[in-house]
Amino acid sequence: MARSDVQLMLDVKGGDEASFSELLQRYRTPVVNFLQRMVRDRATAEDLAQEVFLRIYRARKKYVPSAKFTTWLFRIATNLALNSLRDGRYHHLEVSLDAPADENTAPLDLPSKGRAADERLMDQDRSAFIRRAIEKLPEKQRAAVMMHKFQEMDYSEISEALGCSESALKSLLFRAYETLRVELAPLVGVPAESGMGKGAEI
Amino acid sequence: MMCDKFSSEWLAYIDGRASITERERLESHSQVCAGCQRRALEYTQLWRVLDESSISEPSMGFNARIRARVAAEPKPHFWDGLLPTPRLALAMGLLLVLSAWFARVPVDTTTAQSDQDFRMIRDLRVLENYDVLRDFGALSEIPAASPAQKPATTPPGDDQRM
Repeated sequence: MARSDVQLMLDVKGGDEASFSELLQRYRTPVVNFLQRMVRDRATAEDLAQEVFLRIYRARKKYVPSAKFTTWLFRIATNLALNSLRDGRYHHLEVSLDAPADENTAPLDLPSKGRAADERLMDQDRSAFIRRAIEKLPEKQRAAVMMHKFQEMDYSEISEALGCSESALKSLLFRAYETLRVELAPLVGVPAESGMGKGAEI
Repeated sequence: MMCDKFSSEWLAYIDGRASITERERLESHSQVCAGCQRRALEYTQLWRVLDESSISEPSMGFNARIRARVAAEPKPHFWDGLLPTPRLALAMGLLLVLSAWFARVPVDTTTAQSDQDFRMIRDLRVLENYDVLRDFGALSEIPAASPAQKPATTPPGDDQRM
């Protein structure tokens, strides 16, 4: 039976390096993907993910299982990502609808009235389109969606990681999904409209 | 247009955390409300679409770099546990400063002096002896010593005075 995150972390606290490797293996992909969505840059995301795990390791002696491990992990990741974005080092990485997000993807093809939705979507990578729609969200909305949708964390965990109340989080998430619903209208199956809460952030 | 009264409940509907009752209420409302029916379909579809978002694995050297950084971390020593935490160190420092400050406050010596006087008064025999010895005039009442009683080692000056 697989050991729980808390048990693994307690073992790391006790000096078991193998447990740290197991935690690393368990969460490296979610953390890197989370950070990649946050800072919109693969290399930076990996650097920050390294820092996240290093901070976990450094704090092992003081670890107290007062909250879920993932809450702690993503709180560190969120803080590091927000700090990096606020530092201004990655402002040049702001996503543009006219420019490719990275060298491996084609420029985003904006929905135009003259083309059918199916035809447009055939020309572009659906996954990249979705990813960029998420990356367009304001920072906090982006972090909330990543933890809510992709990590399936509870509202209480996410609100703790983001340092806001649960009601504020629900409002944040609702606005984010409303924005995504409009942005991804070609995939969702309805024409894009100027939806409520678009781009708004609490 | 979605009904405002249900707007806050759609989140739980989207993520599947709504109770069966809540879900049924939203769905039954959607059957009579075209706007909400459409919104329910869009959210359901959106949830599926987001699952298509690509997940990328970290680079090959990711784990190796982490392990190298972990290995470079200073190893804990057995005395680390003995070192006080910052809070404890601060508390101890404050205690030390307070102790030093109290030690520098001048002590009230009048109390000590009173105690000494009291002890002297209590021992009356000492006082009596002290008074007698202090009054050297009492020695003049002693009769003058006869020459026979003179000590053999009387200095020459004393003979001339007698």
